[in-house]
Order: sequence, then C-alpha cells, then structure tokens
Amino acid sequence: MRSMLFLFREFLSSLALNRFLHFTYGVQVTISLLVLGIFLVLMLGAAVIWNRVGNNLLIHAYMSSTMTETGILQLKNELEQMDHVHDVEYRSQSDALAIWEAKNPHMDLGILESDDILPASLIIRATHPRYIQGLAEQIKSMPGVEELRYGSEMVQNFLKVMMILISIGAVTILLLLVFTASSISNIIGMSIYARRTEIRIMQLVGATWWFIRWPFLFEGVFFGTVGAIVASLIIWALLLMMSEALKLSELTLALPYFGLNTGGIFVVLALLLLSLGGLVGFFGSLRTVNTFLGRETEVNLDALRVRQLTR
Amino acid sequence: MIKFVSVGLTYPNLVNCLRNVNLHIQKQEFVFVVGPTGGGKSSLMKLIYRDAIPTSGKVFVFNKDIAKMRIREIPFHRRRIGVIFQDFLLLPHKTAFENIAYALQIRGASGRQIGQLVPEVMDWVGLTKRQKSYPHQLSGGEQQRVCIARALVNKPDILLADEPTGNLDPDTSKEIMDLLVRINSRGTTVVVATHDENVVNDYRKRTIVISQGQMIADRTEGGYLNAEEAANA
Ligand SMILES: Nc1ncnc2c1ncn2[C@@H]1O[C@H](COP(=O)(O)OP(=O)(O)O)[C@@H](O)[C@H]1O
Ligand SMILES: [Mg+2]
Repeated sequence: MRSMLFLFREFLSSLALNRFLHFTYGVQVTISLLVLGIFLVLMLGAAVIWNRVGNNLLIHAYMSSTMTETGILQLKNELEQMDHVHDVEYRSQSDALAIWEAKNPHMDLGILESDDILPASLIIRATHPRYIQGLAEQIKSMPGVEELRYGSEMVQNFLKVMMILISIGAVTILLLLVFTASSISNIIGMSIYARRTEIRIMQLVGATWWFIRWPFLFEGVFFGTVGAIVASLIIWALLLMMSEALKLSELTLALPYFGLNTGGIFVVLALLLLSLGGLVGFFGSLRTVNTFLGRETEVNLDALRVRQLTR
Repeated sequence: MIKFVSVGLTYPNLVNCLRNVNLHIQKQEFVFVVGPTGGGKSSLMKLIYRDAIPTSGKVFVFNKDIAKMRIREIPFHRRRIGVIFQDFLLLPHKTAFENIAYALQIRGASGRQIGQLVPEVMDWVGLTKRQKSYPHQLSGGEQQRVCIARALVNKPDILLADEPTGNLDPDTSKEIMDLLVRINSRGTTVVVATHDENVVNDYRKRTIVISQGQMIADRTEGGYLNAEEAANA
C-alpha cells in the first residue's frame, strides 16, 4: 500500500516532467476515442433502426369476410409449414378494433362497427426480410386472402444499404481501436524511454518485476480512461447542442419509439467508451512494456543503456 | 561467496567476451579486477549481479547458480549486492537524500525507516550537509558518494564498483577508494573493476588481471600489469 502511494507520486511527477508530450498524446487518444464514440452513436442508431424496420417488415394478409375463424386458423397452420416463415399471428376483427382504439383514442368508433372496414388478418413474419417478396407472391394467390400488405422493395433496399453502412462502421471502429492502442503504446514507449535511467536504477537496487511495470500499466489505463471521459463529455455536449435540431427533424420523437432516449444512449456510450478506453490502455501499454522490458529484463536493459550512452 | 567455474560468455552478436574464467572470491575480501578496456571486466561484474548469465561454465553467488535463478528471484538477489558505476546513475530531479531513499522505497520501507537510515548512511560517507542538494549541484566525488550511500543503505553483502573513479581526478579518486576500503573493513566483500594503474598500485590488494576475455593473472600481493602482461594486452 505504501509502495502504491509512492508509485502514484512518482507517476504524477513523471506527468509533470513530460507535460507537453503527454498532453499531445493525450489529445490524440481523446480524439480517436471521440471519433470512435461518434461512430458508436451512429452505429447504435443504425443498428436499432435496422432491427426495428426489419422486424416491422411483416406481411399483413387481410382475410375476406367469407372466411370463418376455423378456416383462418387452418390457413394459419398451412402458412406456418411454409419455408422461410418465422411465425404467424392471428388478429381477429375484435383485436384489430382494440388496437385501432388504442392508437386513436379520440376517434368515434361507431363508423368502424361494420364488418368490412377492419377485417381479420394473419400477420406473417419471414425468417429474413429478403424472403418477403417471394412469400408475398405465394400467399397472394391463396384462397381466402382478400388483400396483402408488405414492405416495398425500397424498404428492403434501405435495409441493404444500412447493413453495408453498419459493416463499414464496425471496421472503422476496429481500426480506431487499433489506432488508440498504438497511441497509448507510443505514450508508454516515450515514458519508458524518458525514465530509462530510473528503470535501470530500479532494477539495480532490486525492484520487482511488477513494481517496475505497474506505473506504466497504470499510465496506460489512465490515458485510456481520461481520454474516454473527455470524449464522452464532448459527445454529450454535442448531443445537447443537437437536441434542438433533432427535435425539429422529429428524430427525438422517433427515438422513444425505438425504445431509446438521448440520456440512455449517452449512458450506454459512456460506459462502452470507458471500458474500451481502459482495456485498450491496459493492453496497449502491456504490449509496449513487454517489448521494452521483456521477461528477461536484462537483455533489453542493455539496449536501453546503449541507447542512453550513444545519445 | 563468489565462484566462477570455467566461465565463458558470448554476447548475442557473437562477441566472445569471457573465456574459461576460474575464480573464487571469499567473504570479506577486497579484490581489484584490472585489465585493458574491452577486456571483459564489466561483463565479469554483470555475471555477479545477474545482469548476464554465462554461456558456458557456472557462476555461483551466495552458493546459488545464477543461471538457475528464476526471474522473480533476481530482484532479491540484487538487494544483497550494491553496484556503483563510472557514470553515476543518479536521478537528476531528486535530491541526494531522495536518491538514496529511492533504494529503500522500492522495497516498501516506511517513512520512519527512511528518516533514520538515510541520514545515517549519508553521515557515514561524509555527505551530512548535502542532503538537499541535487546531483548537478554536487561535485563528481560527491555524486559518487551518493551512489555508494545508495548501494550501502540496503546493507549489501557484496559491493561491486565498476570503474568507480573513471570520471574523477586523482585526489577525489583516492577519497573514494579510501571509502571503499573502509566499507570492506566493516565486513562487506568489495570488488573493484578498474584500469586506473595508480589506484591499483596504491592499495596492495588481491588483483585479478583480465585481458581479451581471459584471466591471465591472480596475485594476492596486488600491483598493476607487469611488463609482459602489458605487452600481451
Ligand atoms: N551488451 C553487449 N553486447 C555485445 N557485446 C558486448 C556487450 N557488452 C560488452 N560487449 C563486448 O564485450 C567485450 C568486453 O566488454 P566489457 O566487459 O565492457 O569490457 P571492459 O569492462 O573490460 O572494458 C567488449 O568487446 C565489448 O564490446
Ligand atoms: Mg567496463
């Protein structure tokens, strides 16, 4: 514990000694985490929308008024046996009416009482949006089906584009993670080099493996998490600033529909960034520490010493 | 205390640094290791504090084969050995006191222990008044004293000095050598590697001559290279 305190003070003084370089690299880490965070927000939004739209791509098959309930249930059974059908839901006339009522509480329901306006329906969900077109064609010609409604081709193309965008985003995020890790590696490499005499002395007076490495690992995690905190705060500020614009574009109105709100997004994002920053910081610095101060401390120490002497 | 059995050391770049060195240093001995630059003196010292391991033969320190030592045992091995160098290796942004305290802090010593041990050892090496000075405010001799104090504060069994007077003028060199002899008389084994002829001739101590990686002489009466050895080197 006393050692920890001592090491922490050493860490602070090392920060103070190399203020400028640490600041530069810190900014670098923060910026990459910031871009990463913005991508995460976009991805999160895209993924949610994709999921919702995908799930909403249902085929509504409205039954002709001549169909009896048993007939409809038999048809439901048939449909469930078909390839690419995920599930089928039966919505009776009274169910449909109840849903309509809930969505439009102020409407006079009298006009809807007649049979034809809100017919019974089967709602078919495909195993994947791409099968919808084919399924719809098959179902259209089945007896008892009066009318069919399903997501148009445009919606499906939209989904394809979204999928591509999500993939690109994922790759970008991976690249940014690598970039952040290498920034942190640089910070640590610089720190090790700046403190090579100290490391040499520590080794000579018998400091243990962990005692020597711990400050560098701590430094890595420190830069990762501080970068993440700053990046999160900036993103939060951006979200706040944009909230007016978002309201205008009705996106915020849409968000609750997707089961989200700006606060929720932010918390998820901040936690994600923080853990990513911390992990990347730890492993980034561990890598550098291990290359410079390998398990066989001695071998690389000579390299450090030679560098110092030939400086 | 220190035993070399037909030790050979080849560096990764194939420099053949030590060949068939046999050597036995007893507890409380004072030994000079002399010879021309590049002869292998520093490498011999490195083997003792396990900064290198022999490529052939065996090195025993405190009756332990240093090649068989586990990585995590190395720090504890080194805590029993003080090392000082020609280029003093002090931390420039720490005072003399803090530099010495450093060797205690890395072992988790308490503030009270530090407050007691550091002034004590500083008095002993003659630095009573320089506690708050930074290395750049100290003369070469004083800096070397700080290094010696740092090596001594952990009460080592062996003190290794690699060219301790290499950067010092003759008078200061003598002061430092006197200090090393005084440390030896307290019971610490002292090994001094040097190519400073005057230093060796002033103190009649056991002298080992290393040239081109080989031990070519081991005389208890001391004295620097004789004419023949000088010619060979
Ligand atoms: N880390 C190292 N890697 C490769 N060669 C080395 C290393 N250290 C020393 N040498 C070589 O080993 C030989 C002996 O060096 P050293 O032990 O430093 O001699 P001395 O201390 O007597 O001057 C020299 O030729 C030197 O170049
Ligand atoms: Mg040398």
